Amino acid sequence: MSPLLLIEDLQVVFPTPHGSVRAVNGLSLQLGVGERVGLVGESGSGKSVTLLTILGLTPAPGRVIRGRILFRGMNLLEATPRQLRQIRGRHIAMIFQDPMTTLNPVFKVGEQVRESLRVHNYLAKGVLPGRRRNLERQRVLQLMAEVGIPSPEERYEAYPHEFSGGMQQRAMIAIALSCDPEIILADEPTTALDVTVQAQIMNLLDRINRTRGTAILLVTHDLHLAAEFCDRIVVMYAGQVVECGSSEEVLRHPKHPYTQGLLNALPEIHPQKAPLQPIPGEIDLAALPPGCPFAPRCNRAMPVCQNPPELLEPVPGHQVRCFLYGDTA
Amino acid sequence: MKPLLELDQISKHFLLRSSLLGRLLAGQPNRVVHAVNGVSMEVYEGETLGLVGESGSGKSTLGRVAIRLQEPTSGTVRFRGQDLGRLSAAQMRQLRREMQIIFQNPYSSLNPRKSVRDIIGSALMARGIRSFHEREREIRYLLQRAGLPERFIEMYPHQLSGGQRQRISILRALAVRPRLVVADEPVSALDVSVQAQILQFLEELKREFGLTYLFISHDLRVVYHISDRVAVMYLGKLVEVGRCEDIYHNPQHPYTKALLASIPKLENRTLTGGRPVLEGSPPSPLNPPKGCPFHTRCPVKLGRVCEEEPPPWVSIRPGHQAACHLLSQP
Repeated sequence: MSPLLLIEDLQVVFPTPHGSVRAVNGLSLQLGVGERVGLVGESGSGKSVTLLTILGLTPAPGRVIRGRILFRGMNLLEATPRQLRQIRGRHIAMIFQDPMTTLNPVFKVGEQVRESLRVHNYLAKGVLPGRRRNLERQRVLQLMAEVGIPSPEERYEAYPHEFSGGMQQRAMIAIALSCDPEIILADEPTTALDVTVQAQIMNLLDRINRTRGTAILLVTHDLHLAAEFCDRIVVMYAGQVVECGSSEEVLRHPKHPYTQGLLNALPEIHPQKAPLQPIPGEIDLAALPPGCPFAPRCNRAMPVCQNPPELLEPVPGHQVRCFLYGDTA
Repeated sequence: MKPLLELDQISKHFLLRSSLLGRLLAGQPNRVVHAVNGVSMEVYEGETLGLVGESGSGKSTLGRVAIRLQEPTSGTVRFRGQDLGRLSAAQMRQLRREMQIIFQNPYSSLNPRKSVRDIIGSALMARGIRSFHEREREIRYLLQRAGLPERFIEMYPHQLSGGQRQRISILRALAVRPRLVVADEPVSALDVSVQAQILQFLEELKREFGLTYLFISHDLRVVYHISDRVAVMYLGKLVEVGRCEDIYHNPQHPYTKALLASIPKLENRTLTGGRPVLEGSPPSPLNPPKGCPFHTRCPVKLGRVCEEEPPPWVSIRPGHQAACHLLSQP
């Protein structure tokens, strides 16, 4: 079965005064129907750029210089703006990190949810405008109720500033769901929210995935959040996939020194308090070494790490980009 | 043991003025934000007290009132037994050296037009080091202590990464040799791998200089790691306080329980239909509910008593207390 979304060898570069920075460097990824995949990495790992590039929203001055993004066999990188517009929000929807800045402050929340239905002419083509508006309004009210916005009739008329952060994010999710897309791209959807509200939003996404079968690609810096929510986790470092596998595998048996380092650097709530083991140094995207990008910070670096490592599969279904698992080790 | 810092019935209210037009035409009254409401607690010499709570719980305001960056609306702050409210400006300036603060955002808390030399140097001046050469020596020592190269002395904040900047703001706080450091979300803006470096650095400094930390954070994992004792705030009130182990492994207040249940972890995957979560969001501090601040969301609310009477402090074991009507039931 071919995956719903397939990214192959994606490369995105950003020209800077100090030379071009490869934000995404040969990334491959797939997302199956109804699957939940977590794209995990720290700032600068290229996770958000990847997500934006899927919908042709690569932030300027970034440019895609290689790769393919296939959605149901269609290469989105070669799609015309018109084709992309038909896909955005209709087949692939997006939820952003900060709902406060993504909702338009001068329009009613209900109207903003309706906009997507209107643009895609999702309900009943050929119906008279007055009746269509009514249908759309009904659907918006349904959606608002589905995402847990209390008294939708009243809240339809409210403006974004009258909503709490959690409620704004629910409204964003209602917008994303409006045309019943096959895929939701979620870019740090709970980072701006408190933990108790984060739990509510993740439960909502969980329910949407179960009841509607919407595939979710979750971008986050929180390994635990990704592990809890996703079937598979893809760990990124410096624009590359360094490790990929089922959530259980990656969290319980991490293979890449970076993933291991991240897990050791995170405080665990465990009766025996263990000292933290920080990863030394910081990533410098402008001066990446020719070989493995993690080598300068890696405590198990070897001479062979001067060369670029390949993605290996030491355990079926669990891939890792590290020489430790190759024949040369 | 004598507490280093004592907060006694601290309240901090902010006045939100309505616009002149609103007052005259619509008769809107000025509104009051109840940021902190009657909080009492102690910070003991040499400990790290973690202060946790969600946004709007008043934890940062409490941290600022604790070192008198803001005046409390009512209540007293005592530092080493001295009532800060009664000190003269000169006395306060003397005492200020013993209390420092580290802010969350290392991008906005360092002056972009000052070099590292100026930033740390002015703190050393405040400590009374007049000699340029002595200051230089101390700055170089501090930089080396923070694992930063000596050449950083010439650099400006924009040339440094987030983690490096946060090290500089920590050095600035430590340059005056304080006894109490209020750390307000010091690692929240940093990546996980850098966050661990900074936490480790703070722990080393605490040992070396015998510091006391009031560590404010919304990150429950970080607070667990660094704290000896933990205080949990909700809507301007303290709801539970105790040793770190007590709070995390034997939480008593329903809010503390809910907070801990909200921490994402792999084990929760197997829960079908999602884990139990707290519904709703905190009420507005403009109009806090009567009685227990948590009653509007509490899953185990008793009834009228929670809505009308402020909950009593119940001692679970020495040093572990929670404010909940449920616990005071026979």
